[in-house]
Amino acid sequence: MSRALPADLDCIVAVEQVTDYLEGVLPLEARTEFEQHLVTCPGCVIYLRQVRAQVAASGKLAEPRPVAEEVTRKLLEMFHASRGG
Amino acid sequence: MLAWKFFAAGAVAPFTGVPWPLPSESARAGWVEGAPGDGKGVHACSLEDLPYWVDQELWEVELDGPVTRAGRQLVASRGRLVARVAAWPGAQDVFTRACIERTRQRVLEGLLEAGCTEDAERLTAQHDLDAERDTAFAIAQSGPAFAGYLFDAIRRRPYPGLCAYIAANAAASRDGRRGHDEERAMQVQWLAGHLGLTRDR
Repeated sequence: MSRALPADLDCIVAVEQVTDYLEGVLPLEARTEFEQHLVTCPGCVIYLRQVRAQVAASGKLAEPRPVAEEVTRKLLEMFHASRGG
Repeated sequence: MLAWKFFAAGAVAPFTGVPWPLPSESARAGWVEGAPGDGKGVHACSLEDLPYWVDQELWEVELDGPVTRAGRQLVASRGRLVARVAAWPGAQDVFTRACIERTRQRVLEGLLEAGCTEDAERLTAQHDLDAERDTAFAIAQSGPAFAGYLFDAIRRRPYPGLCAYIAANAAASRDGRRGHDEERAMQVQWLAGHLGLTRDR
């Protein structure tokens, strides 16, 4: 209902741009457009916060721990079974 | 130069999440350095930009270095807080109500122009926002879809930036870009008048 001007960014495009935005690689015009969308879209603000928190949390993960060979084998079997053989 | 900037609560930059150092009674606030690179400096607003960036706190900020314009914002190499605009966010609800009222007027005008006199009378007969919202929704569902702008504006009143955006889009739906720009200019005028902001800086 509230989009009378064709230049407005929509949520689908904004969601696609979140990673580029957080990595700081959006060109200035696209970044401004993205931030402008955030002012008018509480839902995308929440999404951005979630992704940012997720990135921060995954950055704090401990060193990778070795997975037992048996577990790896079973996981691969399950994966192949789920793909139809 | 002096400019303005909207922040999330606690003088936190709304998008990057960077907290800006606060000034104290005896000392100026520390500078916040923008990231290097095209357009990646500190962002702030001139008076005309403000309605596009409404948030929880409004601060007067000082910008340093070359200041350029990028769309609806100013970009500088660094900036610092000067003083908080005390009247905001206290005036937020009144600002939102003004946006809703202008949208209501536009919807009423649109209904009358479209010959929907009964719908216009139904809307005029409502005396509280929730009733207006529900009536606008019912009218939009029955045909004149532009009444939905009023429904949206009332429904989204907890978010003043969004409410201002809806008001501008309602104006655009009637009068195109000119209507949009006029509504945004009214929002600037409202903010300047009610918050005591001046262009001469």
